Amino acid sequence: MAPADLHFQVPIAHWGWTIVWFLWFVGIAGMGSVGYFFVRKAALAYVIFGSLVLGLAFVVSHLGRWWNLPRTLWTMVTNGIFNWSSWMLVGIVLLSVHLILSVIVVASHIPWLQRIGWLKWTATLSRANAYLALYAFLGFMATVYSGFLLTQASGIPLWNTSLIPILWVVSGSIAAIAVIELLYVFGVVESSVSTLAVRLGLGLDAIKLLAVLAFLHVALAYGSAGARIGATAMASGEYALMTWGGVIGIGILVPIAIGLYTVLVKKSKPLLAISSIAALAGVFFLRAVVLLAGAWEPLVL
Amino acid sequence: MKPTEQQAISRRKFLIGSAAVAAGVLLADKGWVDAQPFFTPEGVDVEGLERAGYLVRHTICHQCGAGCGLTALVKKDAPPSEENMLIFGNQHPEHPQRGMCGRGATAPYTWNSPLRLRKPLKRVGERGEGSFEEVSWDQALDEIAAKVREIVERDGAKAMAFSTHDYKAEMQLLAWPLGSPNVISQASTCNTAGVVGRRWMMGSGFDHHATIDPDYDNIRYVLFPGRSLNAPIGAVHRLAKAREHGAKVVFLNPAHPDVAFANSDWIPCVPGTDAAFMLGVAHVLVSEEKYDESFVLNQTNLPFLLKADGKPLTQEDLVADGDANVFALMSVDGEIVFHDAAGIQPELTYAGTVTLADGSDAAVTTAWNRLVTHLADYTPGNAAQITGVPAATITRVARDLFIMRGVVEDTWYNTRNGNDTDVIMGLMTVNALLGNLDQVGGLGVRLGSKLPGMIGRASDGTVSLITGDSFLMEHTKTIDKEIYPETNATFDAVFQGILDEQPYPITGLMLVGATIFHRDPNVARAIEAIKKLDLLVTVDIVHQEICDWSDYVLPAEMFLERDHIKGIGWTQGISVALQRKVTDPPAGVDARPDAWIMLEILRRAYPQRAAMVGHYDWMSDVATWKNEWMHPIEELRIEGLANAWNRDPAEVRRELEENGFITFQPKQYGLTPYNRPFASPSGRLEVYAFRPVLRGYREHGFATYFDPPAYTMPRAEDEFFLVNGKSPIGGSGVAGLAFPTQYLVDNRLWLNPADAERLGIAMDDEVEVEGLDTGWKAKVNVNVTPRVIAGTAFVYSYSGGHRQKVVADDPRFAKLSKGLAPHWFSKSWVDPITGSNSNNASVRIRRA
Amino acid sequence: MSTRLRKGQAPTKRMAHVWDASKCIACGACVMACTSTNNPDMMMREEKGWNSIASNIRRIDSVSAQGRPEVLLVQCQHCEDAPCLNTCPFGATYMDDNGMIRLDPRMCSGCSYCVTSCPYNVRWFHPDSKLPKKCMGDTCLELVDKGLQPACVQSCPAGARDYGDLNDPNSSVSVTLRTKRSRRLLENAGTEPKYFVVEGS
Ligand SMILES: Nc1nc2c(c(=O)[nH]1)N[C@H]1C(S)=C(S)[C@@H](COP(=O)(O)OP(=O)(O)OC[C@H]3O[C@@H](n4cnc5c(=O)[nH]c(N)nc54)[C@H](O)[C@@H]3O)O[C@H]1N2
Ligand SMILES: Nc1nc2c(c(=O)[nH]1)N[C@H]1C(S)=C(S)[C@@H](COP(=O)(O)OP(=O)(O)OC[C@H]3O[C@@H](n4cnc5c(=O)[nH]c(N)nc54)[C@H](O)[C@@H]3O)O[C@H]1N2
Ligand code: SF4
Ligand code: SF4
Ligand code: SF4
Ligand code: SF4
Ligand code: SF4
Ligand SMILES: [Mo]
Repeated sequence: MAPADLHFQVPIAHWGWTIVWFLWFVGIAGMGSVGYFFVRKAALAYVIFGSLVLGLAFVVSHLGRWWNLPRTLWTMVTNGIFNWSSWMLVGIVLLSVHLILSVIVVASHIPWLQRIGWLKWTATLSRANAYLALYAFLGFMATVYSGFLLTQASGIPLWNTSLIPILWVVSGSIAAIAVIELLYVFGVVESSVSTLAVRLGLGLDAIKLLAVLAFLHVALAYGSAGARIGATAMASGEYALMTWGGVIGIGILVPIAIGLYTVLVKKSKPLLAISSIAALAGVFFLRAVVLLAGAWEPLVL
Repeated sequence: MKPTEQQAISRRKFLIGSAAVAAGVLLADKGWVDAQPFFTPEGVDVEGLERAGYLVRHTICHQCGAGCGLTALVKKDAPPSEENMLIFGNQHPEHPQRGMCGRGATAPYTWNSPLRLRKPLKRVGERGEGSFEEVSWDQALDEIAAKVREIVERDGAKAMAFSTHDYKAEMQLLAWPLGSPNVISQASTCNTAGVVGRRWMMGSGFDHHATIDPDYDNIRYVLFPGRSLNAPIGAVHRLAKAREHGAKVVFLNPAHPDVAFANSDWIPCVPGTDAAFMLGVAHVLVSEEKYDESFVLNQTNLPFLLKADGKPLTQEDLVADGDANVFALMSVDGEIVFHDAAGIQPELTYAGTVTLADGSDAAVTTAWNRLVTHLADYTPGNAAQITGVPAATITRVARDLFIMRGVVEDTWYNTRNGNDTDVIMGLMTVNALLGNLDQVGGLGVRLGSKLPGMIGRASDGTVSLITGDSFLMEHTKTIDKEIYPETNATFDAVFQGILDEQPYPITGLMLVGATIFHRDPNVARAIEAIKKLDLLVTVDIVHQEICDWSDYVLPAEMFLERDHIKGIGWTQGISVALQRKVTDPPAGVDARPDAWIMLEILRRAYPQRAAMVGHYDWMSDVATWKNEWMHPIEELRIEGLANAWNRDPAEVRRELEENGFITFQPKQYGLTPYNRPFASPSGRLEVYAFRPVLRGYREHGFATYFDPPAYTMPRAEDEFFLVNGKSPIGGSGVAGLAFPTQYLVDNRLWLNPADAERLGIAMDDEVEVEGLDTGWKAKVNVNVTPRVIAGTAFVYSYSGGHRQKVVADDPRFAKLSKGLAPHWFSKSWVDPITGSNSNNASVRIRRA
Repeated sequence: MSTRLRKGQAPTKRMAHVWDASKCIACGACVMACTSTNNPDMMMREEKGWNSIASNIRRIDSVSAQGRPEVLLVQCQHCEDAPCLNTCPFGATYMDDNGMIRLDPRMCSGCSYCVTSCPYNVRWFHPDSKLPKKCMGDTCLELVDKGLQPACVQSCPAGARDYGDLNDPNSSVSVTLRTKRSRRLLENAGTEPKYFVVEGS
């Protein structure tokens, strides 16, 4: 018998596709910033910046009362009410600061801006390892935050596991690598970087596969009823196709196959393009299934 | 309490702090902030409220038939709207029917429902299609009047039939002057089995379902066979209090009633087997000598002597010129005594021979002896076989009933399986053995309120109005009574009149507040009959399903929009309540009073006959009519009431308006039948019912179990009983169509987990249901729940299967069109004597 | 009027709801009363997410481990350690000095974090204001400010509901909780709920 009190979160809380996009873009931007520390290409900076802007646009558009945001912030500031126990507030601050850092990095890459004398400092700053380390760290934290965001949503037991931040960081890294591979395909990044990235990606894919399976296993085997309902929806229910086909098939197995081929046989730009897009899609699907499968703990006497 | 004390409470502070009384105050919306200062924990300042611009109006809830006391606050000088009225349970601590349920709370949302009828409608499409044009009142009434005239002149007045649940008097205003006796209520689908059963055992005047009721305030143990007790909420409230003091509440029911969630016992039983259960309980009481011997000897007819043919031994049998209505008993001294003598001491177990007036000898035995033999078939073991209730449970119930001095409630709605009269007789047999009548915590017997009606008819056919107008009506026997001698109203007879033209043809039908498709069994047959009618007029407040089949649909005023006086039922004392107009109809609703509609049709058809009931041309204006016709009648009724209780009419009216009710007599215990005999032939509680035996309806007078004749018994693995009853929140013709209720009533088909598993059905799966007798097929989703006994399927009545076009077209009402109407599957079996109909059915269930 | 508590402040009163499962007849009066009192505009509209009437009370039909049919009514538990309060990014959700978890509409941007954070699934979005509604509704707050009982308590014909201060040992709720067996929902979620279910004997 189905539990009497079965509710998935989307129809009620509306954490649906917009939040999926948000989490995806934050993952790309966040771990992309880590990648940027190593691959300091303009295109990558633009991608990070774009992802951040889009991610924030999605999250703001999701707000039921976005039009009330100015008043909200005004009231917060004038009353000195800052709820630092909220991961969302922490996240908002992190993302805002990260956005500012990102603007600086982007500015450092735009030649005509650099011709404006008083903006030269952006380039100077963006060449400093310390600055880029901060930039990478904030990106990493933003990714972690986007995981804790779910972890702290204590109404949805499927999410109440620290595997989510881990999954988010791993998959965010995979997304960042996929972006770097795509940049290689477009000739922006050197072949040697790409080769390294492919190897790194292979490792991360394997970790991600294990992490996804662990996520399901933990929820199914040790989770509460609500967690089991969610994991069942992912593993064998409504979202099984997205989990097995999208997250694992497209998102992990395809990149692993192409990665192995690249490492063992030969490197092919079209294949790497496919692999990267597949990896990015997989990262997207991962966020989607986890979000959509979120359900409340059924209440019974 | 003395009247002055009562008034002191009521004048200023009739609403008492809610925690103390725990009944409904609903304070709605911000607009009520102004009113709130007058609501304090100590009470409510009525005068202050009125000064601040609020009207306080007491009324009687009519969201179901129970008539609980409501109070409304209305903003003066504001347009009528849900927001401008506030409705809550009448808080007067002495109100006999206090409180409001969720259905009552929906009254404003019925009042302004999107389904509310707004204008008279005239059918333009086929019957059932739901295509109408709006017409003026004049056009509708003139055309209906012309058609009525045509029918009366062609087929005779009797060919016009009328049906209603609650507006009988209003319909009689039209039917009787026309010359048609055929105003036939919903009873045979509601209470007929019980009314006849009670009449057979206690006589007329004691047969109504709201007359004999548990003394809820003091109850210790009460068994509810097939009563869900969703209403009246005042009774529920009192029972809740009794429960706090340890009262035990037990439900015998194939399905688990919602009220049983509250710390009650639920005894699941096979549908249609209640009589066997009751006789099993009686068996235990008798065999374990757990009965009230004094009551049995002195207040029941069990010591009466019966002849071998089952008829009672009468004075006529024994002495020349003896009275056939005087019955014989054997006294402990071994002498024959007659029941009307004083101080008789009867022998309970006498058996022997007596010499009759004609000199012959006759074997006689007491009804008690016959009962003992009769009950031999109903050992707990046998009863368990039939009912599906363990023998130990039956024995335990009997013992608990005895030890705790409990009662079996006599039911309200009971026309289900075709063997229901015997259920009532069976449960009254148990009550007779317990002897707990009219005692504290027993079954109370309420007397009438002496409130005069507006129209009445004497046995010679003289119809008179309370105004003094009167006329003679020729044909007074209703069509159902020509077929079913004992019925209180069997609408099925009208279908027979339409379809078979037997005993005579019915060609016109008028419905005032009657749902037909949700009320009467066998929808397919109803459709067939309706198609054959020359005229079908429906007067209602909302667009219910029958409207789509009607030639004319007329919008009526709802209870919130009218004044009326009524007796209060299901209480112990004698009380009368006032229904005060709370509001006008919402903007755009051109509703008229039911009585006015009837009178106007009459006037337009036959002005002289309208004059016989005091209605004239110049009353076609509703406001004038209310002043000149309706108001004087209500005043006369109050006057009659006041006179009957030796009170001043003006004072009675004032008190009614102030408090919403008057209790003329508080509960008096120990009256009936001890000091005031029943109206049965013997004046006693006739466990052995004389009336049906003397009239030749039955071989013997005891309750008996027999398999339900009303439907084919389910036998195969996928065949089920289909039972139904009301949901506490949705599901009445009235409240069921209020928007919010559809979300709180479950309109799935309930199946027991064991059955579901066997048929491979999971929660919320869709199944196909097919009537074993009607062949009707429908799809419905399933609720797999232990709330129904295995082998039986349950659905809340009126909560699904609404097929009118307006509902289908309005996505907001999507839920109402889902689910089932149980009457698609019930075949409409009618008991040939009692005229009781049956709403249960049997169905085949398959995965869709 | 009650005031907003800052972090670390303890409420002076600990107002709590008590629902007596052994008295509840599942009549729905409270569910209906809650909506008509606090959100009358929703009496003709459905709560799409729950596919139900937009009430601050949710009815759950279930079956006990022993197979006994049961009904459960849930509403905001006014948790003493409320996850919704901890997660609300803008501080719109707060506790007042009566110990009630409340919403300041000025500060709410409709992010829904409180909804996903509530283990009891008792918040629903008003389709127009997009505020995450829950018990106590605005009118109920006014009622209790005036010393009256909230609508659900007043409307219950079975006397199955009560509302009062846990800090006052003489309040009716304290007396009930002392004298009757009761439990709280999702006890191990660590939310310290102030909604008590009195159990049957
Ligand atoms: N299957 C099944 N059948 C049943 C029952 C069951 O439980 N199951 N119950 C049976 C019982 S007990 C009964 S009493 C009957 C009830 O069946 P009905 O008598 O048909 O039902 P009511 O609920 O009285 O509603 C009748 C109509 O009156 C309308 N109405 C309300 N107020 C007014 C008014 O002021 N004026 C007018 N003109 N119309 C008004 C309502 O809108 C509604 O359409 O059904 C019986 N049939
Ligand atoms: N919501 C709502 N309440 C109403 C009304 C309404 O229309 N809607 N109408 C009012 C009216 S007119 C009436 S008459 C009363 C009726 O009120 P009740 O007399 O309390 O009857 P119901 O509520 O119809 O419940 C009938 C019960 O009988 C059970 N039942 C069915 N078959 C059998 C059987 O063979 N044996 C036994 N033991 N039980 C069986 C059903 O499962 C159901 O629970 O309700 C009044 N209250
Ligand atoms: S039981 Fe409910 S619907 Fe029926 S009269 Fe009473 S309050 Fe109204
Ligand atoms: S029940 Fe839910 S909404 Fe209410 S305080 Fe607790 S977490 Fe918050
Ligand atoms: S929806 Fe409003 S109350 Fe809820 S967490 Fe977001 S800002 Fe806070
Ligand atoms: S206290 Fe008010 S808002 Fe809360 S559940 Fe009761 S009626 Fe609804
Ligand atoms: S009003 Fe009372 S009895 Fe009715 S459902 Fe609510 S708590 Fe239960
Ligand atoms: Mo009825």
